[in-house]
Amino acid sequence: MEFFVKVLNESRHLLLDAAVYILFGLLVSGLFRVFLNPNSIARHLGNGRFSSVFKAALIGVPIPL
Amino acid sequence: MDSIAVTWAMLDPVMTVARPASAFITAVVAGVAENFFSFRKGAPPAIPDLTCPVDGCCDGVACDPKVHRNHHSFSEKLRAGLKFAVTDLWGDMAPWFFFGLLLAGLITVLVPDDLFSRHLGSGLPAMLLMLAVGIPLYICATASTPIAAALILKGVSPGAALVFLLAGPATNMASITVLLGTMGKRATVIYLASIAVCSVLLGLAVDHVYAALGISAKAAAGQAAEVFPAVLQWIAAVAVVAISVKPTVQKLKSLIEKKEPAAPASMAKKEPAAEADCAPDEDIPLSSGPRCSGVT
Repeated sequence: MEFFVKVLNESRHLLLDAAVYILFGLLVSGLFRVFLNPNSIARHLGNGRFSSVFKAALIGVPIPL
Repeated sequence: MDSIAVTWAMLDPVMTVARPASAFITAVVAGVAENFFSFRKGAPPAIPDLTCPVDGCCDGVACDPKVHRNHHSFSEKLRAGLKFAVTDLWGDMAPWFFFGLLLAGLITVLVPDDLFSRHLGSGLPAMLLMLAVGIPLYICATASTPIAAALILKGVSPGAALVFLLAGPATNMASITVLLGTMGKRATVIYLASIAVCSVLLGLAVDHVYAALGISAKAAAGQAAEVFPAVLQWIAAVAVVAISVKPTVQKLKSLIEKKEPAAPASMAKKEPAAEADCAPDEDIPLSSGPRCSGVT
């Protein structure tokens, strides 16, 4: 029992550390979703052997998946 | 983005920069290697989904984007974006994040403080161990962060933790089998090899950066959290828990139902498939697997 309390305590510390940032990240990604134009994304990423990969990685890194 | 923010909170500034940068390098190497070996000219260009993200009032085909641009007010868009973030994005991530939190708590309590520092804190062996653990593990970027933080606090070198952060979310047994099925054996091997080689090299590089800067990750972990007053932290934590209860309960329910496929209740239960109609197809073939298993 004491063991579980310890584990939950540690988890609670981690949650407190992360919570503000999670909310912030969700806010930003929500804005991405509504305000970015899919058409321009397709224009940049639709084709190309290296450039598409490069750009996709650059954009993909901040996407919260 | 989310996990960058979480990395800032749970780890330190160096890792916050190193993680997305490394993820970027790994992704480019894997993608270029993949394209290099299996590029087909004349493949049909991707068709973007222009469905209206606010209420699906426009399917992107029958209406002019220029007209639709002024269709919704700013606050309408804002609300739709927030709703998407909370229900869809966090809905997918929440169960995994809490699973990761519990796992991290377990590590912190169970693993003795000097285990890693005495046996395999840094160097190549530690990184290979992290690879061996991270590649098959079914874990997402958000969930791997608290685990990496716990590992660093236990004396694992930041480079080895980075290997875990890169290899953990990028691959798991499920996505490997999906990759084998959709892209073939060769592409899967290329993908896995790119990730393994890149993450180990980047892990070694990060350890050198820490050594050159003369800082220890252990001291830095957890410091960033004191940026915010405790009250704000608690408010945010309560908010996160509040938006997490529903998706987590649903996830647990669906897990239980999957174990008992014969149960009539699961047959009658209505699946939330309607949501999928409106959402654009965001899955890039390389990241097939759970939506939560992205590189960052």
